[in-house]
Amino acid sequence: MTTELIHSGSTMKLAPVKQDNTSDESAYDFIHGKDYIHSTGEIVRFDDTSWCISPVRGKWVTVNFSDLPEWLVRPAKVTTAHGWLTEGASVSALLQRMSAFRRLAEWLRDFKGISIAELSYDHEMILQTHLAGALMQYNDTLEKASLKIGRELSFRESKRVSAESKSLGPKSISSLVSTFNVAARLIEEVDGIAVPIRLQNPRDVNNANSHRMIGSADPNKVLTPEQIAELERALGRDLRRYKKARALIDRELSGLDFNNIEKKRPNPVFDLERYFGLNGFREHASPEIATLRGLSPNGRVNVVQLIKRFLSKRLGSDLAAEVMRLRSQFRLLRQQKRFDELRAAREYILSVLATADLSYQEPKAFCLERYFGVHGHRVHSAPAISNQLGLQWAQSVDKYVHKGLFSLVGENKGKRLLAIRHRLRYYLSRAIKAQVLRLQLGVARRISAVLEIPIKPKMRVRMLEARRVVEIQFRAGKTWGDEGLNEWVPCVDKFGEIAEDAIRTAQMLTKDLRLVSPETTREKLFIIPDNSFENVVPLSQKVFHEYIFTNQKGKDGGLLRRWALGGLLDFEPHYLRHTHATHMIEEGGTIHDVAHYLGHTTFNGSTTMAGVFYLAGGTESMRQQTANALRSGAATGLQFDGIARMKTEAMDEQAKSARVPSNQLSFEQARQRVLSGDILDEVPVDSAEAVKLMNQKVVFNVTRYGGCLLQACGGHCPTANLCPIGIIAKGEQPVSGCGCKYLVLLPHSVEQLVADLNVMKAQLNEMSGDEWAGWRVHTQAKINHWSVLLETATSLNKVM
Amino acid sequence: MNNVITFLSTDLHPVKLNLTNCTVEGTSKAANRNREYFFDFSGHALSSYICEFLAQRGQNMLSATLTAYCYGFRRLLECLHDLSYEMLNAESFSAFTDWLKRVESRQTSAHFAENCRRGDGNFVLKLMEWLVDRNVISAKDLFDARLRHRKAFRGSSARQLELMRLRAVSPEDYVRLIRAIRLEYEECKVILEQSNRSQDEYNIVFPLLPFTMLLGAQLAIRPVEFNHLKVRDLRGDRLLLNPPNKKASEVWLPQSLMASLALAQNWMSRYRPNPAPDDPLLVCPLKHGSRANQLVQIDTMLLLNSLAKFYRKYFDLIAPDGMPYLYTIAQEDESALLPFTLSFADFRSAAITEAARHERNPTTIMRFARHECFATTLKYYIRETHRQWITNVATFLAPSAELVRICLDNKIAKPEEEEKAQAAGAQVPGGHCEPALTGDHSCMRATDCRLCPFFRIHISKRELFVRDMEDALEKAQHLQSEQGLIRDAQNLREFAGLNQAIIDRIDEHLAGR
Repeated sequence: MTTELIHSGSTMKLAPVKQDNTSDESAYDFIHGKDYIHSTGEIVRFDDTSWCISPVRGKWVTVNFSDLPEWLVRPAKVTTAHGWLTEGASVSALLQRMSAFRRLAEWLRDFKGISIAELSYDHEMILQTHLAGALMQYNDTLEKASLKIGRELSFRESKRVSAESKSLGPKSISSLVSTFNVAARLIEEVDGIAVPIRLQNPRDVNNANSHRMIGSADPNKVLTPEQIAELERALGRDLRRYKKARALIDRELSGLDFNNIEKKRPNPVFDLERYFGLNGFREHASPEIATLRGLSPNGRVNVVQLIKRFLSKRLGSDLAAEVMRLRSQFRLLRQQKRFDELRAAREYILSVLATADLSYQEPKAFCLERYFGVHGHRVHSAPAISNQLGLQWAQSVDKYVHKGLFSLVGENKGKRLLAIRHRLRYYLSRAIKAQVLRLQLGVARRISAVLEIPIKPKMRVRMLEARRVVEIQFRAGKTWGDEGLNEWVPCVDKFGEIAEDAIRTAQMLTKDLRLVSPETTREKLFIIPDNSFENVVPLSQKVFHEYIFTNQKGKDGGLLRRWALGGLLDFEPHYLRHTHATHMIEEGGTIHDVAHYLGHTTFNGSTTMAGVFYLAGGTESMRQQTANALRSGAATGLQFDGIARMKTEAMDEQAKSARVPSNQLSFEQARQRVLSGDILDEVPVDSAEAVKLMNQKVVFNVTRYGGCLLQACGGHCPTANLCPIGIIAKGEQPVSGCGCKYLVLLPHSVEQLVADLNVMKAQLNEMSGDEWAGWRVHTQAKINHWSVLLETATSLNKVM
Repeated sequence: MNNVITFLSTDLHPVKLNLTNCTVEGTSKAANRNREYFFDFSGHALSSYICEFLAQRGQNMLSATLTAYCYGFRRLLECLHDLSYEMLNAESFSAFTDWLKRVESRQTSAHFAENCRRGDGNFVLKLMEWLVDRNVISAKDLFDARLRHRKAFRGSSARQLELMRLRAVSPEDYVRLIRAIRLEYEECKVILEQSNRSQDEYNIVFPLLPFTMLLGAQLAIRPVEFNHLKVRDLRGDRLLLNPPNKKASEVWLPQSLMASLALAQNWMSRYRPNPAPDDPLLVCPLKHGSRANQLVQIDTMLLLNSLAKFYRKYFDLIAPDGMPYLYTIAQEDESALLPFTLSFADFRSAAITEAARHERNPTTIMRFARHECFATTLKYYIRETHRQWITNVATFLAPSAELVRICLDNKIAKPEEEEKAQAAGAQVPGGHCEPALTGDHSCMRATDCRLCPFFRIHISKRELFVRDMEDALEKAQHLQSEQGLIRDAQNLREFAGLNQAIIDRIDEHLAGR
């Protein structure tokens, strides 16, 4: 008994069918022939050895079963069909399962059975040994890499090391185990065959990832302005390399007259004009023409035949033969003085020739112009040129190009130009990819959104406080569903210039590519030539990643290695988001501003994402500023207690020996308070969480008004405003504890407090009249409260 | 067999369902106003199922919810008729989702808003669930339809938030709004002192607007709370808010509101001399329509029209500064002025945002908004304008943009250029000025040349930059520790950072990059 996916109407069901014992091969067939069109538009093409799945229209992914052993084909097909149709799994998940099956096949290559049901306990042992070995190898690889760089690897570094060493990580191992078990279960359910074994995850596989930090951000992902400039210069070099190559070709070839190419064959238009008396020439006899061309009138070259062959290509052989026949009778008609017939024949010939395109393009010049893209032509590939010329082989074009080029510029220069032309496509692709990175540098948007930008994105420029801000509209489709989300992203000053220039340059670079671009990609800005200049594909994230950092050992193709960007060897485009976010916070931006800037629109996600994933740990300068203030005892706050102190200790060993001000706790006292849960009630953190945070070296951020303990206590900022210092409503006097309990005053709070106090005092002066009575009381209370804070902050400066 | 079912919705409104004719009729409540409705679902294979569904589920719905279901099903049937689908399945559901995007609403002649389409999809999914329970359609269809629905409306909340952000009221807009209300108040006071004839000629709703608008724009009253205000809710300078679907609360009326309330009461005394405690707080006689010459409650639906007239009035009135009294600046084109388009609900968010601008304590703002959770306040009600946000981003990103510019633009001069600059008198500290090298000495720049894009760095002056940097750092340390001048110290540190960037640039150049 086996099953068949039955194609009935628009639905597909797993249904058991009786198996004919005589035809074993048919047991593996699910669908014969037909494409399956899912209600959501996805299409599957089934055949015996491979299935084509189209998750997105126009983008096909093939799941190939031909390289699997016989016993594993059916489990793989059942699992794939089940995953795709019932679970709604993504294609990448299906492909991941296929790679798991391949690995199983590799580990059990000695197994000669024909069904998964024939696996025994011995095979289970073999698989479990392999799984445990893979996990051990993974741990060893990470440990070695960690020893090499002298510190613990970050999450992303671990991922990269694991990918480079091609070792199976805990997640892959777990996925392999579950894939096998799902396949075994499905075979039992669908085919009714008992599979005797199941796999188990090796011990410790679930603990391997437990050391992952909160979020994935660390200060190493924050680029300095110098590093940004270094990157921008490197990207500029990729563009310059293309422009230089293009300029060299133009300089060497554009000024040349391609008609001067040494011709083997004469120009047939020369013969035609004279033979038929066109364009002001009189009618010549063929021997006359031969003489004009310096040939013997009775030589081997037959001018009439040449003309006939030329005309045949343009008029068709019958009409050409007719024209030539009439022309050959001219002499006879003249001799017999049949002038009327002669005139009629001539008029007929002229009328026929007037309708035909008699221009003649020298093939070498034709090929050269198109192959190198000069004289107003776009760059063509050799096969495309051969098609246009009607040649049978593309090699003929190469021959024309070589000979024509060598005769024009000489062999040495010609070879150089050919080498450059050969690399031109790579240079162009790199130059376009460089513009993607430049645009991302300017806008700090997700790379998926950058790659989706249209050919003419909406842009507007405005001046804000003497700063030039360029706003570019992005449509984030991947994250925000079918209808996407249009966002105006501001780019300030130099970042705006870079972003604008990147868009302009990409438009210029892809102008010719659009002529051959299919409809689906024509509206996208970032397209690159694929295989030849005749085919265009949109840029994908995968290709783009390879452009920056190649994983292939020994290859020097990545941007970072190509331009020796030593300081950026661990760089990824996504770091630009961390960079901009952190720079904004360093300069006093709020979490809410940053979240909006990064495009985190969901409320809970936004602050968490911005606060933890993008800024966790802060930068070195932020930590240093906090640590210095704390160490010198210059910082204080309403809730300044053990947790913040312990953060300092976690950051810097020297801080343990620092003098402890009388109003603060020693390191040991702080530790005791945290461990025994003796924390002030207002700080929403349990002791275990606090120790965890401490181990993760999460420090609180230095903000505009001082320090924020939120990072220390966990949780996002509950306010949209800068470090709230508030009062109770309706004119009540401020009491200790109102306002933001997370505030820690730092010495630099003074200037901000003074400035804000001035603003409030000015506001108070303007609030005359009864209608402002409520606000006036509020403001006055706030002024009083802030004055107290100012006094505290000023005293801190004296301590420092 | 009786095929007519009559029941009450949860808010006690009668619903009459005719299973033979497949019709639904009854009354519902919108904006505290009763409305009659009638839906005919006949003529389709789904008709009887829809009626059965409503008969079973409708008894646990509010009348407004039931009406929304009916509208959704009516659109579903229209779609199925248009596209010739006989039955509801995954494919026809998918087609319905797409159809809703294309067609226009009968009432507004505009495309359906996303939340409306999403709601309709949810209603139909509920119906499909019910049909699956009765084995009319397969569970697979429901599963596929859910997937399609989720995919189609992914990011819907984010888009709604973005739309709300676009409607945010800037501080300037808020001030203009309050000023226009004040002007209206003054004008109405004058009108009240004039003859009856002038009062009759004046817009009947306008004298009530100052109080109404200030309720929203200063006290952040919800539309539903406004629609349920009664005379008895007024207790001195306190106003009791007690809508059916929200917790009761009490707000304090400041003097401006008390004054505008007195004005409104004066105006209403012309046509309602002795209001009963259960009467609506604000009423006016209508001149036109089905309720002409009746005293009707001023509710948010009635306000839509009056507010539009109010905005137009103060948009057409020109202030002494040559600008209209009440205008907003277009998002796309900042040179274009537009009249206001705020609804009563927008006043609430404007008020809360304005409160957040002045009040830093989240708890206070939360209490002001009468929310239970500050997340709600922050998510939906505190809306900064796009321009304000852009200004913030520009301010916070400008320093790093400037440093990047220096690293990129301040080019290194060649040795021959250094000599040429010396001969031409184009030298400035640390390098030379490029326009000066070509004879242009018109620069009036007051800041340091190092900040100028035309500045060219001289490698030979590297020592000067190092010295300047060290001096600046030392001086900054001194100013901060000895004199407490932190701002000056910060400026000096920025200057040191600038010199460091230039030194790095020189080193990089010398290293041959």
